[in-house]
Amino acid sequence: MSGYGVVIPAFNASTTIAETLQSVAAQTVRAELVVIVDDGSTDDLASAIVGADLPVKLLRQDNAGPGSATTRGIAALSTPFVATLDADDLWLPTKIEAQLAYLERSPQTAGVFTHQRNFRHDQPDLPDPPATPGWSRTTMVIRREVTEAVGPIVDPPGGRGEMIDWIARVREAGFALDMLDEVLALRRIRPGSLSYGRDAARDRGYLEVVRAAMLRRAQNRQGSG
Amino acid sequence: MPQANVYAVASKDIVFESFDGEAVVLDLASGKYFGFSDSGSRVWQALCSGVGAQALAGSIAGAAATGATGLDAFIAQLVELGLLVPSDGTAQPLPDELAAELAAANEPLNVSVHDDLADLIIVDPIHEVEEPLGWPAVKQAS
Repeated sequence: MSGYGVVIPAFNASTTIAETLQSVAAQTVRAELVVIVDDGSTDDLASAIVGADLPVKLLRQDNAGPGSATTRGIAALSTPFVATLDADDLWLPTKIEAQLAYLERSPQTAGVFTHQRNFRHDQPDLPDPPATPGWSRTTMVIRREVTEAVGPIVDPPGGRGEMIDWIARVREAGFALDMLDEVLALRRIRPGSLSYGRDAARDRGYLEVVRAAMLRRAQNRQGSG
Repeated sequence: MPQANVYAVASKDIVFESFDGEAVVLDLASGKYFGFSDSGSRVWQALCSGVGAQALAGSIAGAAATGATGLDAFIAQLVELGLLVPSDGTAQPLPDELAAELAAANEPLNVSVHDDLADLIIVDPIHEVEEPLGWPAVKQAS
């Protein structure tokens, strides 16, 4: 039994989500269910997903962050495997097939990620975009029982970095996470951001995430000492 | 002797925040993060707001298990870790509140280096991109 479901948290993603869903529909192994969690969008997400050739379930919540929305979506799945995806990124067609095959070959592996490349929104791609290890929502396929054991994906107060925090907690709980060398996902980039300065939300979130990691370490020391 | 009196945060990749008085510093380029003892947190806070090392050395003399030699070594370590660089700026006075907190500190100067999240943090292509459209800061951020 290797069925999988997909969770896509979406906030004001109506311009990109149709293309994202096409990449899910194009998978060589079909998803049993795609749960889209509308995280308090102010655009017309429902219209944007009409016509997707997929079994789609749309949930809505007040804006609470991508981690919260992802957690909600995972809870709505009952498939043995959970794949997650940002509402503006794309999968390559054999992504899920490769990951499910890997997990079947490797029963001790809790979840598997893939390399990814960036692509530029509405612009030609850079000549040779580098492949990077995608420790991210878009590349993750994980066994559902692991998500239950580790608990919710928590949005750091005022910032981003919820997947870093969650992946760290998965590792700390003793679950093995692996990385495929193959590029099987594409991450959408909007060029020109440097001129707009730093991303305070990301910095703030990452600091919260590393602070939480230090607190957990201190607690574990206390617990064991 | 310290190499310089005034220091500045080494680059825009070095971000930091004080959580209940405890400094947390993150190097976005390497993905390493740094935790501080209570005295170390106050010294970090003072140095990155331009307080001179000499003024600090005077205030820190009474603090637990620290002295001028310890301060020099601590600053050298922060420079070596790539967190601070010597600056030719004007030394700022040590604020009274920070001086009092420093005097009340009871741990020796210390910084700890952690790289367990580095592979997760550095894959984010920080310099080329902005966040994908759709996930601005969660509303309560501001």
